[in-house]
Amino acid sequence: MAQHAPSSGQPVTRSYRQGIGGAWWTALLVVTVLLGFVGRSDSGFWSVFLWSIVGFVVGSLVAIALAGRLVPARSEDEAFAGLVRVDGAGGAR
Amino acid sequence: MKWLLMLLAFVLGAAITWFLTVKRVTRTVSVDDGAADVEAAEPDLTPVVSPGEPVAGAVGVAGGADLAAAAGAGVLAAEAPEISQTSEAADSAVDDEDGEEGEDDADNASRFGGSHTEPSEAPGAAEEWDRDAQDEDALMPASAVEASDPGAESEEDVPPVVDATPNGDLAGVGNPAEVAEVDGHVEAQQSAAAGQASDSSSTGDVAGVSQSAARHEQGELTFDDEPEPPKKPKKERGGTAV
Repeated sequence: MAQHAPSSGQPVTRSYRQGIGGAWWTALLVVTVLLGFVGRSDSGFWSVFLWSIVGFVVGSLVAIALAGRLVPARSEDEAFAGLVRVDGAGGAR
Repeated sequence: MKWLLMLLAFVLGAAITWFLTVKRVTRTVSVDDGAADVEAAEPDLTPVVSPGEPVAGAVGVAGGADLAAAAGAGVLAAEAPEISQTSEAADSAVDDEDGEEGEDDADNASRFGGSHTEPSEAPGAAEEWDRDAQDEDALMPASAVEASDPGAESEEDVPPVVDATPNGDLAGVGNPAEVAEVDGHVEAQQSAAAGQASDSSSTGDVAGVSQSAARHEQGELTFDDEPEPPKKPKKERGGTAV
């Protein structure tokens, strides 16, 4: 994740991670059910539904792994805590 | 078709999870906030010492008085540029491609004792000692050799005393005026002792002896340099006591 160089009085955008929460479970159910209905005429609802669950979970694990590598901050304060240190090493000091 | 739908589920799962977990937030950072955060993140551990003012936190800490004395003498102010110069020398030594002199400076700055200064360049007795030298003068420092030189001016500063004093002082050690003063004082003491010995009472008691005995009876600890007088019978000592 690119770290924006801060300057005085300018907005700085930072990223941080948070828990997936209940929205992920809702998305899992909706996506797999929709895909099951789409593939119902080819392989049957349950086959496509179950394989869609596998694909969704694996894709989620890959996304979580990438987020853990690219976004080290786990909270908003932690994301801005390193802002001044990076800036101080660059030229503020 | 089924595997295509599974691949679509994989992509949707990754994308939805990414947008659910990774949040982006925007803040407006000012210079004052940045300065405050710098102070909070990196507290300055170097004590602030002003000449002539008490050192904060120096009470009860070993070396605090020395730190205050060094601040008052301006030693700290004199050492600060030197430290920065040595660090700059170390940095330049790293960048120097030739490397010989720069590396030597870096080694001098980093090894025990720090970089060489003008006083430290003067070799001591151990450094000047030649392993093969048979003369013990080789162990003497240069300053001692110069002092022992008969043509040196340092000997002319202190004229030698011709005779030894009655106290056994060696000639050439003391100042003649002080030695003469001490001699006069000693002679005065000797004459006073002779006068006291002649000032004896009719009963034969020696003046001052009974007073010393009285002090011994009171149990006081005395550290007189005078020799212990010969013990006398109690009846005589009680008769002379006032």
